[in-house]
Amino acid sequence: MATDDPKADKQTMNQRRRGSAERLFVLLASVPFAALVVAAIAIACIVGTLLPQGEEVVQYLKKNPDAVQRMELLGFLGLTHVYSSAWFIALLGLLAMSLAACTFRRLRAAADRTGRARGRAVGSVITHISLLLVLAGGVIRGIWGERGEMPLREGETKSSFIVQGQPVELPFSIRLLNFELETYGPQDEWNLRPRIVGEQLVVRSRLAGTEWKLPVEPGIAHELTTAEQPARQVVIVKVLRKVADFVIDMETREVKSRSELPRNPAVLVEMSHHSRTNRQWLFSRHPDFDMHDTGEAARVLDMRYVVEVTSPKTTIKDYKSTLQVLEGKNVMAEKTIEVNLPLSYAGYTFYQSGFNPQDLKWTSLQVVKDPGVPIVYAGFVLMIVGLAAVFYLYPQDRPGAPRPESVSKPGNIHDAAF
Amino acid sequence: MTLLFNIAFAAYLLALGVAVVALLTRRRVVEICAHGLLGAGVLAQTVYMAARWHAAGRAPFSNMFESLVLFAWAMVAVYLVLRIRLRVPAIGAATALLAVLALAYASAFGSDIKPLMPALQSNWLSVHVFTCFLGYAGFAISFVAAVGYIAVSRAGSGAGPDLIDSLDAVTAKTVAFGFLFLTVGIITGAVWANSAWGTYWSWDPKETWSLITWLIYAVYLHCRFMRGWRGKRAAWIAIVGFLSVLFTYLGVNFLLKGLHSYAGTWLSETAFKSIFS
Repeated sequence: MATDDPKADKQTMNQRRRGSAERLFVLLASVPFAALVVAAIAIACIVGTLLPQGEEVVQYLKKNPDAVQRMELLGFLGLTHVYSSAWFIALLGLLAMSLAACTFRRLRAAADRTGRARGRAVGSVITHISLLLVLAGGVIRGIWGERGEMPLREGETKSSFIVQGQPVELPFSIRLLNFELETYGPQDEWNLRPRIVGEQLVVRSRLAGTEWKLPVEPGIAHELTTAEQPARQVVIVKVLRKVADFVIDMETREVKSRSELPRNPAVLVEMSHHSRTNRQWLFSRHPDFDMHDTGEAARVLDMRYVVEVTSPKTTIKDYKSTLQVLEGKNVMAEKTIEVNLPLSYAGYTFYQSGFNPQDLKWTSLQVVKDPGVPIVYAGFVLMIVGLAAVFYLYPQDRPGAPRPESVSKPGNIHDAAF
Repeated sequence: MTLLFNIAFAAYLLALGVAVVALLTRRRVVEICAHGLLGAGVLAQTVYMAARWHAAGRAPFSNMFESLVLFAWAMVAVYLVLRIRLRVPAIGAATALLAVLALAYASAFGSDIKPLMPALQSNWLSVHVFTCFLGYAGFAISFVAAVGYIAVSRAGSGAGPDLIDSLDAVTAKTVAFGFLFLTVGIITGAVWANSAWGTYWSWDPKETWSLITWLIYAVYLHCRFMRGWRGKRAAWIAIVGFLSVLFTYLGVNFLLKGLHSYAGTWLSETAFKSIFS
């Protein structure tokens, strides 16, 4: 609608601009728009849990080599990395805009109300702001957050960690003083209905075909008697020692256990027949490696000895790393971290994330810097406060109280709880 | 200890029967009996869980068996505490039925107390799981009320408008309760994950499905309170919401893997093998 008067023209333009801004605001603040965005996000989430995501794709392709083309297409559509894809982040952006518009509208509405309705409206505003804070925290994490790995050996000091194969410098260094692995004992003290757990020494007589299952308890002597046929024999079997992780110390030439993990369980067994005795180490993981350096007693009986670790799978209880934070040569902090108990220093947090079962001198740390966390946590607190205000501090109707009809009228924003 | 579990089971089963009788006879005394039995069941279960807590030295909320026991407890407790019984007695029978089913399902899993993996050894375990299941319990009752609403409105004019209104109000009230506690549950889970792994959200399937559930109920609450949706449309959202709860709780364990995989599958290992192999 152009006119000859440029001033009036500008005014109309402004009005029109204001008009379309108003319309955009109304659209963004509307429940149907929010519901649409939420539905789209929910569907995207469902897709993300059903299709293999990120590193799972590699695993999936190993199992289904024919699916390469399909995966490529899905990858092209952004469906194999849903949560980090541009379209999903755009959806979250739309959600944030919708939330912001709603919050603004509700803020205006809250000012007009009194009493419980006002309390409810304020609660609702707080809830929506809290969601915006959580999303903002996520954005901060995405932009300024860092996350990587740091493997450390006992005694080693490092001042960098690894992010996707590349080293990233830290403004201080970290030293691993000690790594410790704790396991639950084979006697499962948690078990209310005791079962037979633990290792068994299976002794089988080849000649008579008899089999005994003995507990691997050092010091207890078991007298085994074969049947009459082909010949009655008596042998005393005694476990002298057991180690979870057999190794021979190269310096002392003595057998010792390298760790508490049952990586190479072995028992030292003594067999006596009359006055003849022999001892030998038997290996659970290497049943054929019982050396056959059988002494007289075993040869007489022609017995076969097998060690079977029937249970544990020793369960890991906890693992801990004692760390020092160093600036130059000064020790700034020292802490023993474990799963659920990280160390924080200068904006970085060090989590106990793993260890090397092959070498228990190593620890593996997760290094995280996330400046968004305080904002997200503030959002969490506000969300609980806001929801509690809406539902319980200023509820719409008390039990048994008659419901005012106006609350149910569609679009009656002034009485709505949300 | 098993005795207490059995007492609770028997109490709920009896409560179910008595509640059905109360519905048929519409006698107040019978109804009070049913609620007394539900209360006795909750009490027995509370002692059972406390004993288990004491024996294990940690909250008994760590696997399928323990969570189902908690679920049954929470449903009956929420029902009794929210005073829903004042409005719709039939929901009492349905809650008793759900509690019986949950305990029966629980007994299909081993009740052994097992040691916890390192990530689970945290005080957040009790807060996180407990709040989540209070939320689930609220949603379970809202589901019962929503199904009741659909059924009654289909049955036609036999039921009075009071019953219809009450069912609608109970659905909204329990969804609001469930929503608050699911929110707290998700938040405590996030804080816990941040202290264990350094990330409060990692799009693990269980997390993602809890978010989907949360979004569905957020839509319900907005439609119900902002848009004034009542009746069938709102009831259907509540029903879809509870299906999502069930998938979050059981379906994810069975179909999808992730950080919560220690929770076990939806069938016990033996049952799983006998059916699927």
